[in-house]
Formats: sequence, structure tokens, C-alpha cells
Amino acid sequence: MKKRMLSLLSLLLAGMLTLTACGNGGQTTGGQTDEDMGDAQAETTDVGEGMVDTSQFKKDGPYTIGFSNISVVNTFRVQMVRELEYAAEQAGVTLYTTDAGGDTSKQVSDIQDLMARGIDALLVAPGSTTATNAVTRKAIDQGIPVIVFNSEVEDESAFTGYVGTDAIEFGYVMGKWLLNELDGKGNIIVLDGTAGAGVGEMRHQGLQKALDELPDGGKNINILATYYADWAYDKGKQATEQALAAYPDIDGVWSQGGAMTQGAIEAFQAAGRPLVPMTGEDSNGFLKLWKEAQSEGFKSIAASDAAWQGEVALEAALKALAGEPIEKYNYIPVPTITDADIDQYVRPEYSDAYWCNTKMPKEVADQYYLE
Amino acid sequence: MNLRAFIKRHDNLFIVYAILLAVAVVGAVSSPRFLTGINLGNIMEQAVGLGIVALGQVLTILLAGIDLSVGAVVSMSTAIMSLELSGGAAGILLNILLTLAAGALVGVFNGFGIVRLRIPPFIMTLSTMCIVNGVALKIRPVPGGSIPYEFMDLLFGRIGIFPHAVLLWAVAGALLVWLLGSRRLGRNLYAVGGNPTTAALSGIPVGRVRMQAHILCSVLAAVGGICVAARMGSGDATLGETYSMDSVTVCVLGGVSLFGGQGNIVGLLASTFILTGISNILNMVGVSSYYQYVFKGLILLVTVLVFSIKDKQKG
Repeated sequence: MKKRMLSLLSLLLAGMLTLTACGNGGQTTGGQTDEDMGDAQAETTDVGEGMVDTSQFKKDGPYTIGFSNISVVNTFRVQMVRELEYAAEQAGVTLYTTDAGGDTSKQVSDIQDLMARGIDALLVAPGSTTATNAVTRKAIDQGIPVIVFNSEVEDESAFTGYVGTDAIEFGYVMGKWLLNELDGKGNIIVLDGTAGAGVGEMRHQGLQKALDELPDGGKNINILATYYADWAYDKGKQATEQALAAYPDIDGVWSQGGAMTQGAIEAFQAAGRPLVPMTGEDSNGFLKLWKEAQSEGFKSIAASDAAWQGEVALEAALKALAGEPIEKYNYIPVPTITDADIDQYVRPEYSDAYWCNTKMPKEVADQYYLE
Repeated sequence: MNLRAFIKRHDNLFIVYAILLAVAVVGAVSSPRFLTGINLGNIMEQAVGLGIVALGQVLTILLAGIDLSVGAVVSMSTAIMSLELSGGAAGILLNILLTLAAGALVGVFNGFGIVRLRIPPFIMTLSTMCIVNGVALKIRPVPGGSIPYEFMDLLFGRIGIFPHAVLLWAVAGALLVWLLGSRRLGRNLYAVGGNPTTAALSGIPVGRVRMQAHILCSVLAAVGGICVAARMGSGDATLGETYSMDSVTVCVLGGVSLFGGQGNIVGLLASTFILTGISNILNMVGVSSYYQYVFKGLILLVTVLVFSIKDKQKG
């Protein structure tokens, strides 16, 4: 009897929901959205090639900016957030930050919550090329400019502007340097990131581009082996150990991550083999090791993903709020560190977690990274 | 019926709805934006997928079992939904049918292992989870694919503050209330969950009940997955990870006993909103997401503690 009461109650509740849902009958929002997008696109004229008209977002300050981050899963992303927070403080804007802990579904909720909380512009470091598109389109509809950075999304109507380094360029810069060191001939091994990860594949494409550009099309470069070492120190070391056991002649290592290169250097040293040119990244852990190994004749180049790209994204958002045109795609040229200028960047007194290509002033970096 | 007796009989329900009320009050006090139509609509949208998955999970828990593979089914569903099979409305219908069929297949697989091979549900569904995760990754190695905006709008466009998908949730909920309350399957489910030996002796087809529960559970997980896919507009083979544990949390918080045979699904509505509401409120006041996980855990712990103290007092 009681159970039946409850069943009835629930049915009633469900019925009520149904009734309320049907109450407004027939109104859908689909057409509306599309029209709005059409209008927005129609307005984007006369601002120059590759530029976006942002006059529809113009408003007066002070501004509150929302930042939806997919995760702080590694030290690079930790510093990326810190640099953005510092930049926001300097610019005098309020920054609301959310962190989805790697969960793309939570990132969509986070963005909705930020919008409900009230923001003037939205910065997104997305975890997927498509998942956030529907919700960021709504943000743009509501007059909130959306700047996506660090990782691209597919739908151009789902963001106002994009900021980031070009992953192909990243791999290309490294490849060009290594091939130049080797005079375009020799045996190399390749340390890639994670199989299937977009950034990793693009960096590898960059290497291919550098190979293709050699006068002989890279015929004299022999890639002995390619390992997916997940950008990780231990896996980079393991892979290099395997390679050293299998191949007596290795003339160079193209590694697309600093931690893997650290592992590779140590594997060479442990095997008692002379160090060969290797590519790396601007992580302090790698730079410290590079600096030490210079006495053994070690040479390298460190490409950088620019930990300060969030600051550039923030600048783009503020420009949009001022109604000034911004670039649709703003690719930051990949900064590099070479044997000539490593001393300006390496910080022996800082922890390995520090990324050397930074815009944080020394006092701020000291707080976080001094050991 | 005596009101006091009614409350006493369903005290777990009153506890969980009281907690929901408390969460709502905390939300309203801590942020002026919490009780706005947009935000309440957001919370509903965020809750729908988990709510439907939990409606399936509760069936296995009522049988003193568990289904750890629902999260993987959600992932696989988003992967299947994001395949571009053919254009237009008919195309997406094909995706939906395929997704539901795949869900049913997983349910049959779980049921077969548990009933015929007598593998404990925990181990069986854990194995299934691994297998289905692998299949999902095979279908969609990297997140992507795209689901037409029209379909996303069909489920998550809003009428007033209500996202359309809430209707789907309500229908699924009503269906289950009906099944559990007034159909033979419901009576058998409680009997088997309470004591399988007695149930078998009294002529209840225990195996068939388990099989039906697992099929229904996996199909509901697939429906939940369709909602998640429509919300994200893409497929992602790791998207469902959190749903297995979160759906168990929703059941326990909703007053359903992990030992089987006890509890009803009316509490799940409240517990789904409690979990979703907490994340929302903490986002609204800008609390770091690390604390969001801590809060989720604490609320679960406290509720279960209250349930068990109360049960002890009852003797």
C-alpha cells in the first residue's frame, strides 16, 4: 500500500515535469542559435585578413574573467596557470579559475557554472577538440568573448580567438637543429610522446618536415627506432637503454620532451657511450643536466611551449572587451634556448618543476621554485 | 495511513531529501546566483546523465550485486554516438539504435558471467569494464568526432529552465518506479536481493531476474551515455570513467543498501542532485576543485554513518 503511494507520488512528479516541459509547446532554440551565429559572422568584415571584429563584445571595466582549465596534470600546466594568475593580478582583473581534473564532462559543467556566476570573458584550455564547443558557442551568443589557448578546438564558431604555440613548428625547430648538427647524415632514434596524442603526432610531423627539407630529402638520415615514451623520464631512459643495446652507432636523439631527454642522457652515461646531440625542452630539470653535460661536449636545443601563453590569451580577451580586433589564430613563435644562451635561462637554485622560458619576475618565481 | 508510521518506514528518504534541502539552502546563502533559472537549469543538465545511469545501477545493487562497467558503457556510447554513419536525422537514429544494442549486449554478457559462470558481480563487471573500455578506445582512440548541434539541442535545448533531457530522465524514473512497485520483476528483485536461497526455494527464477536486471542496467547506462554524448557533442573513450563510482555513490546516498533487497529509487532523485549540486555550489563560490572531491566523499561518509546509527537504534 505504502509502496503504491510512493509510486503514485513519483508518477505525479514525473507527470508534473512532463506538463511543465510541454507547457511552452513547440519552442525550440536551435534555429535561433544558428541565426545569431550567422549575424555574428556577417559583422566580421573590414577588420583585415585573419582578424576578428570584436565590437559586439565591447564593454566597460572593471572586468571579471573566467578560466576553465582541463587539468594541472604536469609541472608545465601548473606553471601555465601561475603565469596567468600573475598576469591577471598585474592587469587588475578578477580571475575565476576552475580545474576539471582531466574530466571533459566536468569542464563543460565548469564553464556553465562560470557563466552563471557572471563573467565578462572566458579563457579555455580545453581537454578535447569538440566537447566544449556547444557551451562556448552559447557564451559567445551571450556576448562573452571566448579565447581558447594551449590546445585547439575544431569548430571556428565556438571561439573568438585562439592562442598557442604551433606543435608542428615545435618539432620542426628541433628537427632542423639536429639535422644541421649531423650535417644531414647519420643514425638517429626518436622519442615520441603518447601514441594517439594530437600534440605528439604534430611534433613528429615537424620532424618529418625538417627531414623533407634536406637537399637529399632525408635519404641519409636513418631513423633506427621510434619509441612512444609518454614524455616521461623513466620511459625515455628505458627506451634509450634498449636502443643502446640494439644499435652500436647512434649519432643523435630527437626527443620531443625534456624529461625523456634527461632519461636519454643518463642512459648514455650509464652505458659509457659518448653523448651525442639530443633535442630537449625548456624544463629546468633538463637544462640543469644539459649545463652539467656541456663539459662532456654535450650539445642540445630546447624548444618551448611558452608557459606564458595564458598571458597572451588574457591580453586577447581584454582587447576583445575593448572592442579592438583580435587575431583568429595567434601562433606564438616557438621560443628556443641554445648552447649560446642556456646560462641566461638555467636556474640551478630552482627545482626541476620550473620551466625556464617564463615571464614571471624573479621574486614571484622565487616563491614557488626556490629549493 | 498514519503519517508518523509513513515517515518512520521511509526515514532514509526523509534524511536524503533533508540533506538536499540543506545543500540548497547552503547554495542560496553562499551565492546570489545559485537560485537563478539559468543555474538551476545547468544543474539539471549536469545531473541528467548520472541520474539515468544510477537508475540502472540501483537494480544491480538491490540484488546485492554491483555493476562497475556502467562507466565504460557510457564511454563506449559516446564513442558510438560520435561515429558519422550517415547524414541527417535518420543517421543519428542509427547511432542511437547501435548504442542501445551495444548496451544490451554488455548486459547480456554481464548476466551470462554472473548467472551461468557464477562469477561474483564485482569481478565479472570489473572484467567487462576493461573489455568495454578497450572497445571504446578502439572505436575512438582520441576524443573527437562530432554530433550534430541539432541533436544536442534536441536533448539539451531548454523549455523555461528545463533541459529537454529531463523528460527522458523522468520517463525512465517513472518506468522503474512502476516496474519495481507493481510488476512481478520488482517483487522478485527485492526477494532475490533479500535472500536468494529463499527466493529460489519459493520458485522465483533467480537467474532470469539477475539477467533482466543487468540488461536493463546496461541499457540505461547506454541511455545515460547518449545524454552525455549529446551534451559534449563528441565521443571520448575515457569520458565515462567517473560514472561507475558516482552511480554507486548516488545509490548509497539515496538510501539503497549495498547488502541488497532494501531501498527504493525515489531517493536517487535527491542524491543525484546532492552530488551535482555540491560541485555547482563550490564552483559558484570559487572553491578549488580538489575540495569538491573531498566534500563528495565526506557527505557520503556522513550519510552512511547516519543510516547505520539509525539502523542500530532500530535494533
